[in-house]
Parts: sequence; structure tokens; C-alpha cells
Amino acid sequence: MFPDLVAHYLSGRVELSTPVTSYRRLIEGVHLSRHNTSPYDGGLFHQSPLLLILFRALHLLPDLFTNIVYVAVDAAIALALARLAAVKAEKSKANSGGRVPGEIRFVCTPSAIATMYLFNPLTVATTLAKSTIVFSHLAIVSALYSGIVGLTNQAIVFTAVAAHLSLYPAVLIAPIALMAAVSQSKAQHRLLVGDIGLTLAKFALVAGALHFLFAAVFGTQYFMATVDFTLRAADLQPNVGLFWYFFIEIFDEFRPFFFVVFQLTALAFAVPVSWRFRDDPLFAGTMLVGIISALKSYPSWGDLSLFLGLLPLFEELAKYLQYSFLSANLLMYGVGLAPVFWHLWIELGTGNANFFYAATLVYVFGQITLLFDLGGAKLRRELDIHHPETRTRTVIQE
Amino acid sequence: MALVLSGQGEKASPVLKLARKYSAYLAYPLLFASIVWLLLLPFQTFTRKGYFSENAMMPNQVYTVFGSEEHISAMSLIDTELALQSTAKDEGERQAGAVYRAFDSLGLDSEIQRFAYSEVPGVGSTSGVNVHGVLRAGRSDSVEALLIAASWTTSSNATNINAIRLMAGLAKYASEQVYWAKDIIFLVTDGGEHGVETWLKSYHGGGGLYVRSGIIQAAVCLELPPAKSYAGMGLFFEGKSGQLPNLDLVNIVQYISRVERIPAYLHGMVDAPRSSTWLEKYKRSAQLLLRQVSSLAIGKSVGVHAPFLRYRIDALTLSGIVRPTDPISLEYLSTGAAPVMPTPFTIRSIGRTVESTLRSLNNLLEHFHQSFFFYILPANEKYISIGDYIPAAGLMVASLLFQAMHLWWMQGSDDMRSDNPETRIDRINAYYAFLRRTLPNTIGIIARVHLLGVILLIAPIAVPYAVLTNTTSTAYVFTMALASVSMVLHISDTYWIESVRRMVDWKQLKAVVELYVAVVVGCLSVMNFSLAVVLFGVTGLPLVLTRVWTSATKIHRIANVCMLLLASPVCTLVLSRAALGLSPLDFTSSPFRMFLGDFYHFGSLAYPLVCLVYWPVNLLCMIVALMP
Repeated sequence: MFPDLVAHYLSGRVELSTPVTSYRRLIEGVHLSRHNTSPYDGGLFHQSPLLLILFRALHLLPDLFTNIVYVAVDAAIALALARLAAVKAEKSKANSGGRVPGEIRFVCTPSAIATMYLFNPLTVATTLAKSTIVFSHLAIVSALYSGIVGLTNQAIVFTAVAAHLSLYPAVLIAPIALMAAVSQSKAQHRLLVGDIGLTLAKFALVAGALHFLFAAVFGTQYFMATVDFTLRAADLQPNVGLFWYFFIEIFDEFRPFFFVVFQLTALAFAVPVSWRFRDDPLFAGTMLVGIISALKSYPSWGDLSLFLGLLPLFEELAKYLQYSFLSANLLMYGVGLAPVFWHLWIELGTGNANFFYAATLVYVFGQITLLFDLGGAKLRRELDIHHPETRTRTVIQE
Repeated sequence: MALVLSGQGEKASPVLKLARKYSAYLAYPLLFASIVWLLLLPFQTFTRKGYFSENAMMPNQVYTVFGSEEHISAMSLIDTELALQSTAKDEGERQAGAVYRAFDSLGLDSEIQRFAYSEVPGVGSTSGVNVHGVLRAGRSDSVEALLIAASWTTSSNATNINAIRLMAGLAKYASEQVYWAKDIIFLVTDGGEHGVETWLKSYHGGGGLYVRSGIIQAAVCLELPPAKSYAGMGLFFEGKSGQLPNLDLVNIVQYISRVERIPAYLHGMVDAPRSSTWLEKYKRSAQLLLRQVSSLAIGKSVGVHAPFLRYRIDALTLSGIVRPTDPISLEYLSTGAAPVMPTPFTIRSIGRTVESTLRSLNNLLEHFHQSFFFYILPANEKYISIGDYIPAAGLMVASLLFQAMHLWWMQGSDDMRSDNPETRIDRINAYYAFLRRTLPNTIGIIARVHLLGVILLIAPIAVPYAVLTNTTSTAYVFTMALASVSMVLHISDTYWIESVRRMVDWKQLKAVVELYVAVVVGCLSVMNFSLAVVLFGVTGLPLVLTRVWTSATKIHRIANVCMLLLASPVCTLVLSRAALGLSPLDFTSSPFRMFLGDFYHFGSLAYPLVCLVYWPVNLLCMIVALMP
């Protein structure tokens, strides 16, 4: 009974479940579809039909099976992360050029990486809240894993599913395409633009097929309720992102312009980040996961948990991180202050929206700091690898 | 940004160098500044004069009529009915029946609610009876309501029959008037805060109440111990987790009571006279502030208003101040008789205060929202707003952060901190190897100690018999203390062995704990400033002062541990019990049980904070002090 209470409480937290990942809304959607009503008509349900199918099946079984599925998904994500780590370790062992002369390395064991993901309090809370973001996470890590081992087609399908589940992971097709091109170029000794184009085309085909299939079943309402709903940030229920407060404040006539600006900020990093880190598409993918987590329209703590889960893969960068003290503090305060300010604002009525938004800003700023720091660390390390003579010099970025 | 560079990476900017040079010394001035800031608060420096933000309330702009013959005779209705209820099976039923019949005969929609609650979570049950009557407003359709509440016993365990008599009189007065735009609910309970909490839970959808009204906008609770007359009233407003009513409510009640010539003093404390010296004024203000801080931190206040605040209902308690020589009060203490107040003047003034307050609240167009929700009150009709007191908490957090930054920078051996670019790679490698070696151990120590805290938190809930009586709960706390001490000795001893000495660094452990305490104090300070300050006083302050010498001799360590023992939870629990025993509050049970009960019934934060922050951090400090 006690865990049930906790789960029920957590599933109502805005920091953990958003309009597009809420388990309560999913159940509502399942209920509607069981009564032969289109779940997308009511303006309540905004999740993928794939989840609808899965949970309609689960609904026939006792509640225990739903819990088992969530635990299994979490375990699968952890497993995929561990496999990613193993593959990465193997690759760096084979490729002796990818290390700085004289450096000491402690590679995180795959099991340690899995444990770090599973025992992250944010992961635990997200799973307890039964946020459906975990399914998207599973698709993302599966895509990254398939991409890195060379199963390009599989990776494309996983990315399409992830994009179908929560839209933003679509940007991950950029690093996936690079992975595909790298694995192709090994055979042909050159990087092919054609390969990238082919991957993108395949992705468009799969993603398009998924969407049009369901659009054929549910009608245009489906598009409005999922893709359009996410892009336009139509539900302004507070969350830990930047959108809701801004779009509450601005006048309606400026809305179209600003949602383009905001969404571009979130999506436009795909190409430059992937291109800059083209030697290490997995790193580019991790950066993109972090960017999505900070800048998407309905973020939750669950998004951060995946980013933090991917970080230990790049254990060699840890020693190059310069602002870890700052970013760790900011994230701690962001996560700590959000429930406090929510309590003051909504439950007691003594605070107001600015309080909660301040906590959100701290949280997002922490993530951005971490992202910048991570990118900087990667660049400096690459400099050390490619130009060993600069190792003893100081680089000052102006 | 460069201020917070984590460590030994790249070349330091001049700002960073400066910060590193001075951050060692910065923590103490900041700590000192925060204490000075707190000590300055009772001066009139930050104080501003109270005012009414919500103009609609127009306090005391009406002609008060309470106190006519009918009203006074309605007050004696309670005694008449009590005498008639001699066949009831127990005292609670007798009182409830009497109040029900009195309310009924005055024309209120009344209902009796029987309930049971367990004082110790999960064990036994105490039953109680609530009675409430609703006076329907002539001018609206029961969407909003005001509430007057009283418990049958006061906080000092005297009978509160005078307040219930007054409520009957007020009900009579209110039913004669036509200008009510909000229903008025009269609530009488015999279970104190638990009774009110049960009633509120049922009223807000818990089920079991049939006579209902609308949203309750404000509540006034009354406590009038037996007396011939009162010297004034005490005004109590502190809620459970630092919750406070809107300052407007406090202000209008103070203003109205002054005009009605029975002033309501904050905590019953009269201001120092204008002619007194600054020291006198300072002492009086400081005393008042300390009472607020202890009330808010512990979550114990006079009166039954605290549960209302949790339900977003602004509420306060008015409590009659009895002179020590009052003949009726002395008679009550010796014989237990509580006759009707012979002189109607005082009770009429109190009645008119409540009447005028009701009239003002009746004018309220929307929920209280104008004035301050975060304040502390240094003197009657003065206030200190959040902007003026929160910097003290900010300075505390900053002091912790700066020391943590410094320790983080100073951890490991000295050769990791040179600025020479030639040794950059070696330095980075050494630093990195050091972190890889020590950080998991540091986190492990913190996790182990917190596991003990979790056990401390959960055990009394899982096995309620552990805290059934004061004796068993004392035994429980001391058993846990013993376990904690052995854990501290075990952990700190482990790392004295030469081979594992390099696996930990006390500077790192202290830095991480400081960051953790800073986050907790920082987040708490916006919600419950008083509790944050108290928590900082018992955890943060000893933490900053732990192992201030770089070379720890035996004497230093012993002195340090003695200080930490003095600041340990067991010690403060014992001390606070002694200190609180002197106050008029009901402190027959141990603070630990009280915290537990408040956590269980009202969701207040003191108990989890003691178990999950205070207790473990104190142990961690001891580990830091005893480590190599």
C-alpha cells in the first residue's frame, strides 16, 4: 500500500509527468479507445498509438504486469547502456590513436554504468511515476546501440519509434546517419554523403509510414493531438522547461513566431553538434539528448536521468570538466527547489508562478552549463590527442 | 563563472586565483555576517509599520452591536443545556449534545461528527466529538464561509467554556443580522488540533459531513480560560510547516481589538513602553521573535488554528490573558468550577472584536492575496518582510558554499595545485586518480550514515510500539544513538589503517556534506525560514566549525567531538524538552514523539529533517573530526 501511495503521489508531480508522458492521461486514453471513441478527440490524450496498443493489452492483465513492464523497460535501458559501454571500450582498445599519451584511464565497467542509471533517484522517481518517457528512452538507447554496432536499419527504425513517441529524438538521426556512414566508409575508405542521404531518406520513410498509418486510423485529430500539440506547446501546464511561463506571458499574436524560435533553439543543434563531433557520433548523440532534455517543450526530470545515464560512457572526459562544481550545484538546487516552490505556489497559495519558474531556470541553467562543459572537455581532449605538443600548454578561450 | 572552476584542469584566471586565495577565510566572515544580520532583526532597522493592503476590508468602519441582553442570555444557553444532558454516556457526548442543542435552538444547521484518531501512529485510538453549526447567509448561496472555532480545552489544559459561551452569543447576534454575504460556521471540538484536522478533512471531501457550506475564507479560533476579566488577548498565528496567515488578517485583528479596548498582543506580549531604553526594546523584540521562531520551527503553537492553514484557510487564535490574581481563575484551579463571567464588559469587548472582524472578512471580495505571506513580527503592528530577513539565510548558505569550494580545491596533495603548464598532464592524472580513489568512498560513507537515518525514520512507523510511551521512545532514541556512535567509531577507525588511509580525504567528505547541507538549508529557507535557521544552527554551524585546524591534534579532535556531541540530536532533544517545559505549551510528551505525531497527522517537516539531515550530518561531522 505504501509504494502505491508514493507512486500515486509521484505520478501527479509536474516535475515527473507532463501532458505528453502522464500515465493518468494514458489510462484515460486507453479507457476511451476501449469504448470505441477516438482518444484524440477530447484534447486530453497526447501520446503515441503504440503506447495505446501496448497498454490496451496490459489493461487486460492485473496491475502487477504494468509494474513489471516498467521495471523491465528500466532494466532494458540499463542493459543497453552497459552494452554501449562495452562496445565503446572495445573500440577504444582497438583504436590506440584515440588516447592522450601519458594519461591514466579508469574505464567505468558496464555494470557500474547500468547501476548508476538504475540508482539515480530521478530514474527511480520517473519509473515510480510511470512516466511513459521511459519507452522513448528505451528506443533512444536501442537506436544508439544498434547504430554503433553497425545495424543501421535497426537503428533507423528505433529512432523513428523514439521520434514517434516523443518527437524530439528525431534529431538523433543525424548522429545515427554519421554512424552508418562511418561503418560504410570503413569498407570504402571514405565518408559518403550518399550514405547520409540514404539514412535520412530511410528514416523519413519509416517515420512517415508510422505517422501516416496512424493518421489513417485516427484521422487528422491524431496529428493535432500529438505532433502539433508538442510543437506548439499547446498545454501550458507548468513543467521544468522554459516554454510554459514564456507562452503564458506573451500576447497571442506573437505566439507563432516564438514557438518557431523556441523549437528551432531545441532542434537546430542537431546538425552543428553532429558535424563538430563527427569523429564520435555517440558523443554527438549524448550531447543531443542533453540538449533535448534542457530545451524541449514538455521536459521532465526523466529526460535528465537519461542524459546523466549516458554521461559515464565518456568517463575519459571527467578529468577535463571544469565547471562540474557549478553544474552539480545548480542541478541539485534546481531539483530541490522545484517541489518547494510548487508547494508554496499551488498547495499553500503563498507563492506565485515566478517562484517555480525561478527553480526551472536554475535547473535548465545547470543542464546548459553541463553541456557546455562537456563539449569543451571533448574539444580539449581532441586537441591533446591530435596535437600532443600542446599538452603542456594552456588554452585560453576568449 | 571561473569562480567555481572545479579543480586542477586548466590555467586559472586572475579572478579564480583571487577567489582561491581568499575563499579559505571567506566562510567565517560570511557566517559572522549572517549571525549579525539575525541579531540586527530585533532592532528597529528592518522593521516597517503594518498597514492594510486589502482596502475592501475597512476594519472598524462599522457600528458594533454585540452585547445586548439577548446575546448575553444566549451565552448562558450552553450552561442550561449542559445541565440537561446528564444522561449522556461520557463527558464528550454530554458537551457535544449540549452544544448541538444550543446551536439548534439558535437556528443554525448543526451536525455532530464522531471521530477517532491515534495519538501514536498506528496504536490505539482516542475518540472525540465535533459539533458544528452553519448560519446561512441571507445574501448569498453558500459558496463562501467564515469560521469561528474553539476547542473544549485550552492549550494550558483549562476548560474553554467561556469561548463556547461566547460562540453561542455570537451565533445569536449573527442570526439577527441581514448583511452576511458569507455563511458563518461555528465549530466546537473536544479533540484540539486533531479534531479540527479531522473535521477539515471531512469537510474537504473526506466524507462523513452532511451539513456543509462553501469555501472557507478565514477562521478565527478562540481560547478563553476561566477568569473574571482579561488583561488583554494573545494573538497566535504560527502554522505547522512554517505556514502563516496573510499579514492583513493579523493586522486587522490587531487594529480592531485595539479600538475595542481589549488589545490582542502578539503572543500575549506587550511592547516595551516608548520611554524605555533601546536595550529594553531590543530584548522585548528579541523575545517575541524567538517565540515565533521556536513556534514555527517546532510547529507547536497556542490554539487550534494551525490545521486551517494547511487547507489554505487564513486563521489565527485569540487567547484571553488571565491576570495571576484573578479570583475566578484561582477558584477554577482549586475547585474546577468555571462560572459565567460576572462582568460582561470584557467578554463584550472580545465579542465585538470578533463581530467587527467578521464584518471586515464579510467584505472580502476574493481570497486574501494582497499583503505578505512571508514575514516575522518583531513588535505589535510592525513587520519584517521576507526581503529583509532572507539574506541572513543566503549568507549562511554562502558561507557553507565558500568553505566547500575551498576544501574541494584543497583536497589531495599539494603538488596537484601548481600552476606550471609543464606538469599539466601529470597533475591532471594525479588529481583524477585521486578523485577516482576517494569519491566513491566519500559517497559510500554518506550513504551508509543516511541508511541509519532512514531506519530511524521508518522504524517507529513500521513498529509503532517502539514509541508507545515516553519511556520506550527515550529507549528507542538512545538505542539509535548508541548504534550511531558505534557506526561513527567503526567508519572513522577503518580509515586509520595505513593501507586504506589514502582512500579517503576528510576535506572532500566535509566539502560534499557542506554542499548537501547548503542545498537543504537553502531550499528550506524559502518555505520555513525559522526551521532553516534552527537547522543551520544545529547542523551547519557545527559543520563549518568542524576541524578548522589543518593539523588536528588529539586535543583539537576531543574539543571538536565535544562540540558535536553538544550539538547532537539527542542533546538538543533533551535540552529543548527542558526549555519548552517552562513555556505554557503542553509538553508532557517527548519532542521526538511530538515530531513524529506532527509528521504523521499534519505532514510537518521537523521529523524527517531530524532523521534524514540533522542526525546523519551530525554523525558525518564526527567522522570528519575523527578521520585521519
